[in-house]
Amino acid sequence: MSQSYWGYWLVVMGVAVIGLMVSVQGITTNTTQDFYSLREITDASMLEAVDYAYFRDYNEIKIDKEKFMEVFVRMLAESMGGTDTYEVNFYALYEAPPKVSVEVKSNSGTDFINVGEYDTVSRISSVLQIYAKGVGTV
Amino acid sequence: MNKGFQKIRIILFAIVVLFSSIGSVNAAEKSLGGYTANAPKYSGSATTKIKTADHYSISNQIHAAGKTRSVKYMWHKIDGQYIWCLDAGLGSKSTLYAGRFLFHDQNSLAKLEPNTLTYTYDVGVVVAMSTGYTDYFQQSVAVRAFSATIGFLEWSTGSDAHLQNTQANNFPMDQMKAFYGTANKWVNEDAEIQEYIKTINEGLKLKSAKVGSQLSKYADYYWTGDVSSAKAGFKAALKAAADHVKNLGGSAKLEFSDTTTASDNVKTEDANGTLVTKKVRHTAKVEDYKAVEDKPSIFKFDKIAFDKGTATVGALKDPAISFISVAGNTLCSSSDACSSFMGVNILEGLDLPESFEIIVEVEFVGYEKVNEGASVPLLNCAEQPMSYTIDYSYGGGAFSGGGRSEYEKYLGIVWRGKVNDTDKQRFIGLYGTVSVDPTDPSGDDDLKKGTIKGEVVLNENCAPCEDLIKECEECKDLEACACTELIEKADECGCEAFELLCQIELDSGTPLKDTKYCGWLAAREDCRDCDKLDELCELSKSQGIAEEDSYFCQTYDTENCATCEDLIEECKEGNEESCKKYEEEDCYDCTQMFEACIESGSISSPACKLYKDNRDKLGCPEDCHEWFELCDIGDTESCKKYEDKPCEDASTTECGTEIVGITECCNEGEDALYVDPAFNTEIGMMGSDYDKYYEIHGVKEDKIRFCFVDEVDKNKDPVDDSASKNKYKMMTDSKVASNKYCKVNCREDYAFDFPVAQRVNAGRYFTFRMAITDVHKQCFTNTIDKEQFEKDIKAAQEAIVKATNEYLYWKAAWEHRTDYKYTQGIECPTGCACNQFDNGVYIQVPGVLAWTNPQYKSEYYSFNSQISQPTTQDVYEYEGTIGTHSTGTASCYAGVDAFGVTKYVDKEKTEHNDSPTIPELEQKLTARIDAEWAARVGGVQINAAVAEYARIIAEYNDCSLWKTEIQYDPKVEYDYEETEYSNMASMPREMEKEINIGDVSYEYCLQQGAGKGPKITDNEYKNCTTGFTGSWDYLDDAYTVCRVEGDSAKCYRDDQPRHLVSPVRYMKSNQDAESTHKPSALFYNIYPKGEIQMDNSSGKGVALQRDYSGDTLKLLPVALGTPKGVRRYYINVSNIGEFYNDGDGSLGRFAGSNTSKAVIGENVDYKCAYLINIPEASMKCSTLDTPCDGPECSTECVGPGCEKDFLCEGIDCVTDCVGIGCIYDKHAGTSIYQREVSLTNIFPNGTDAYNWMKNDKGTKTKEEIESAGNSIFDGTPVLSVTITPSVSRSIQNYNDSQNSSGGYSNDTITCQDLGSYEKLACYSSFISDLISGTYGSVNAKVDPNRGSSSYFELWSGTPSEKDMLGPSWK
Repeated sequence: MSQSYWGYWLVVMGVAVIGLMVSVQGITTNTTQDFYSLREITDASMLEAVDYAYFRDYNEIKIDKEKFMEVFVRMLAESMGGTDTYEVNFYALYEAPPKVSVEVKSNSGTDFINVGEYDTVSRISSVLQIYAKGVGTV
Repeated sequence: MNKGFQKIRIILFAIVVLFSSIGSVNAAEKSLGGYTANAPKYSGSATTKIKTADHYSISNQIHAAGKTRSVKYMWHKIDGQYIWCLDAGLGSKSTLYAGRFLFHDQNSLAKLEPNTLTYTYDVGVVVAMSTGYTDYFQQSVAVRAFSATIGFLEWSTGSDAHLQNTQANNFPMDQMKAFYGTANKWVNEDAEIQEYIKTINEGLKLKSAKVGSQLSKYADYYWTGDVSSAKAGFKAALKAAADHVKNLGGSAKLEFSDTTTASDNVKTEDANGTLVTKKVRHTAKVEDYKAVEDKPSIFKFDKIAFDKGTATVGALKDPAISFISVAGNTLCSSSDACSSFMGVNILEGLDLPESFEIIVEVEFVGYEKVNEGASVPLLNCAEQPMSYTIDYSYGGGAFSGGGRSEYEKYLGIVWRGKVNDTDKQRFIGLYGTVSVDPTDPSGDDDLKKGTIKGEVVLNENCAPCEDLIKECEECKDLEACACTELIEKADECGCEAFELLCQIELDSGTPLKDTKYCGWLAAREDCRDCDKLDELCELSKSQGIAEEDSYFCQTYDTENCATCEDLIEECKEGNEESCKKYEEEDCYDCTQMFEACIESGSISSPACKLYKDNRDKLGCPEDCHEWFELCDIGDTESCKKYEDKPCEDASTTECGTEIVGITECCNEGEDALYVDPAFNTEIGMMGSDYDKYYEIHGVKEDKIRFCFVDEVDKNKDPVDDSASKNKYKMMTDSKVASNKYCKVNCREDYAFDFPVAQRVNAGRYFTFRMAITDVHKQCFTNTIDKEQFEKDIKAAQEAIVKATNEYLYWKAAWEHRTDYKYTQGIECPTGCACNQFDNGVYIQVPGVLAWTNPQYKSEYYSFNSQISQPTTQDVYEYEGTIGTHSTGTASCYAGVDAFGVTKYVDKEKTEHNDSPTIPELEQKLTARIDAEWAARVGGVQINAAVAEYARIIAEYNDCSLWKTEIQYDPKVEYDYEETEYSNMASMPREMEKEINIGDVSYEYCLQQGAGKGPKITDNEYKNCTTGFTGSWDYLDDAYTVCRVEGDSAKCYRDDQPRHLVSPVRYMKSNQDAESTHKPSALFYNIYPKGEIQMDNSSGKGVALQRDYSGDTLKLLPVALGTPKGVRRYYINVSNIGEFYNDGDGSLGRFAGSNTSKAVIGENVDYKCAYLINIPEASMKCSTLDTPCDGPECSTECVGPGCEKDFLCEGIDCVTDCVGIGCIYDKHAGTSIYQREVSLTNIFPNGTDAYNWMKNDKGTKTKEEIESAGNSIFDGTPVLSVTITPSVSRSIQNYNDSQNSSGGYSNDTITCQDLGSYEKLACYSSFISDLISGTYGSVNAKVDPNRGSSSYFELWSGTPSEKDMLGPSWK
């Protein structure tokens, strides 16, 4: 009997290890996905926020920071999982030259290893650059 | 899995966002008549129209058989050559122009058998004309696809990527590429088409520029939609081409050798004499012969004959072919048998090798000796050898490389609507030398013609004439030596023999009239020549034979040997017949006739009559020299002309030099209108500033100038009196409209200050201004005709005095009228010769008629002749005294009295029946006195004479008093090739203008002294003899005027009021004006998308206008989606210059009037370029439409960006979007890049991004960001929201609802003014809704400044477009 108990414990431990591995993997995968999503969304949102009327008037590239935040939130909503909750924080937004900093906190749903309200925090800062090889004026 | 899918969606989404954001600006139309170029490569726009049947009418443009749509060929005959038009369905121009085109590879045209192209178009395209737009489009695709396949790519020469056909057929380059890409698609997908192309390339042995080789580069472009009909046509065309290539004939060569083989003369004796027969063989070599199936090769003999005719050479019969052999096959071997082969294809039915010979033998027959009594011809010794010609023709089959397929004579044709309009190439045709109806594709007329020339000596017994002539010439005895034989054979030996014999006769002293052979020489038509006849004629005249009796002279005349020079020479000598013949022979030569007239020495000579009768008809020029010469020989008319004209100047002054100063900006010419031809030229693009110079024909010009003048004449004062020279009346003051003493003419100068090329980046704007400067109107008189005035004013004063004297006379008569009594007398009055009136009586008439007339001095005063000028107010003295009635003085009258009364009283004092009674005479006298006095009561006639006197002075003074004012109101319109905005059509085209017109100033040259004064020109106004002044006073000269005062009339020095005279001899006016012109369209830049609208009804727009040096200019936007290239802007100036219609005096314009009164209807057109996304350096590659050929030109791209990114489009070299400010180019893409950065070191490896590193704003921002580093995340965010699954779903639903409204680009932004700047503070309605919980609770933390101005911070530096610095910061 005792030997059979050891067998049962062995099975229980195996299940526990597998559960732990799945949870860790979920956190890792979630973090990775959030990071790439954040980059892509930031890129697209900045380009979407370019103010072409301002360019026509002043010959400078400017983004509308509110349009950037709007598109970012709208795109993030499209990329979220059905049970995910995100906190999005926008910091130090420069319109011209364009620079944005965004912090996104997310919850993986694995509460037992969650150190706080969110188990993943992603931060990204991006700029828009204009390249010109020529020298001269218009 | 769900998140992975979402990620892909996001990536795609980002791409779409970028393009959709740009596309929203482009607002591109992608379809064309229901056909769509494949997206996304094509994003241009096109204007489409459904074409009406009228567009397909070709009757007015192309001569088509029957002028119906069903014709297979359309062709046009030019200079005897035909042009096939293969795509004339859209002809809508009244006049078409054709020009050559080159294939992609110049040699490919020569290699391409033209019939191939002709047939293929016939089969594939033109067999049925278009029935509507759909049909046309199908045909158009087929035509353009086929054209591209054979190597002809229809590109416009500009880099604007447009093939600008018409508004209804406007294909951008992308669409053109789609045509060619469609061909590529068809080739790749259809093995049969590939086989056709292979057949063509192999059949034509094309080594380069092969058919179909140009298509692959357009693989990314093609038309979608149902183009199956086009493909069918395209495929049929290629099949027909391939079939034709298969059947192309060879290029066999045929050549007859110069070498012949001849048999010996075979002689046989018969009853007629000695018959000679000879045979001559000619051989032709045929090489590269290759038979063609169903296309026979043809060779045939057409004709054989002696060149001078059989009778002339004396042969028994015509030459005949007696043997024919082809490639060793003997076809015939006797003249009878061979006669059936004349005109027959001798190659027919023969299986011929690649190389072979054609041998033909010709037989000649004649008698070299004829027995006495025989009636056969004798071979003519003079015609030995006998020349003959064989005509032959060949073609077809193996020879068909010739005929219609002489492709080296063909050229490609591009039809155009205008002669130099390279942008409007629309039609393709073939141009070739064809002498037959092109609808008949075959026919013998295509055969090549050839001739064989030969000579044969059949009579070998003839002594050579040359030997006889030589011997006779040595012995010179007509009755001895070879001369006797030469005389016998004179006819055979020809003219040389007669000439020798004639000369021997003359040398022997035989009078010409008695010679035999000289007469023969003149009698034989073939021996006559004018020189010889002239020589003999002169000889006969020297021998005393009258010209009319001389056979030689008469023959000379009948041969029309006299030249025009002879005739005019004889005419000059007085021979009227020669003068008449000179006219009959149409010898007219003005110089010749004039010189003959002068040399004749008398204006009444026949030569002068000839000249005077014809010079007007011929329009012979007249000038001072001619007048002088003619005057010298007694032509009074010419003397008068010479005196009337300022001929003395003509002899020393170059033509036109006197008016150079007036028309210095104009060319000297014969027309009244001058326009500098340099104006009509392309303007080089030099520099980018407004004030840079232009380059016209390689000469740098500050401005473009031209001017108008209304007078042109050489060697004259600025004004020519002849009305015909003054074509345009440029001022209207009635004072000088028809003034007897002066003419006023005008000139107008203009200088156009046009803008130069402008650079602009897509998505921004450009502008320009232009000015018309140095506008100057100058009107000027000729030399005011003072001499004529003095003549007139003298006559006027004489008339006044005359009227005054008559007034006084009749006044006295009237006062004494009752005292006048007629009495009869029987005594002869003292002083009368009464004996002649013995049969009559004497009548004593009233003494009033015997008065010595009381008169004032009939003197006048003038500039030049001031005779006894009285002081002011002096009354003129009577010269005589007014007589009183005196009956003691009688006159002797009989018959007719002083009053015209007829009377007669005989000795018995009896009055005859027709005589009035004395009371009647007295009554008549009284009546007349009453009438004369009544006409003068109050001094009516004196006053009329004084009025005329005053009028003359006033008219003369008017030459100094006229006024003029320039009517300057130019209309300047503009346009530019911006087609991206749908509402551009409503753009106002007339430019804003600001006109400044200066005051008129008048300048005068004065002269008070006597004489005509110097002839002056415009340049000498300020140097005229008596000085120049801007104002003047009247001359106080004294003239005689008279007036009635009380009971009498008195004459005075003119004083009440005094009529003063202008001292001005010349006058001119000067007036300047100028105008500036700016674009007038006010566009609004709609924030934040940058869309353009013509109004600001949305309230989101900022007016596109800027201040430049204090001048506000409207800006012309360029769409972000506009591709890199050179586009044009246009300026059109009209309503300049002024003239006044002779009929109604209404105002007309010299150039570009909007009324019918314009000298030249066309406006002054100017075009220049605006360069989109093109860096400065690349401009050296080209200018507008004309390839650059100056020293600064290069065929290669030079400058930044050219090293690796350049792309040459035609003659334009363009680079990628590399210039500063270029953020997007349709072809090169965007230069905006996103980069993830570290906040502590944004650019660890540095950056070339000019918005970060090239200005203070960028570097300061970078420093500020790096200084704060990651600490920003510890601070308060600008916005913090929590997105729960519920909120996420709500936002997703919102996103879905906005898909049709632009998706993420939807209109959520409203911008407000910030500081002194418009529309910089932009708020999102979505963010406001998100914060307020519209999408659910988001636990929002918001910058408390949101909604206030401190939510945004402006850049503290100065904005600079040049440095790409705006006011916005964060």
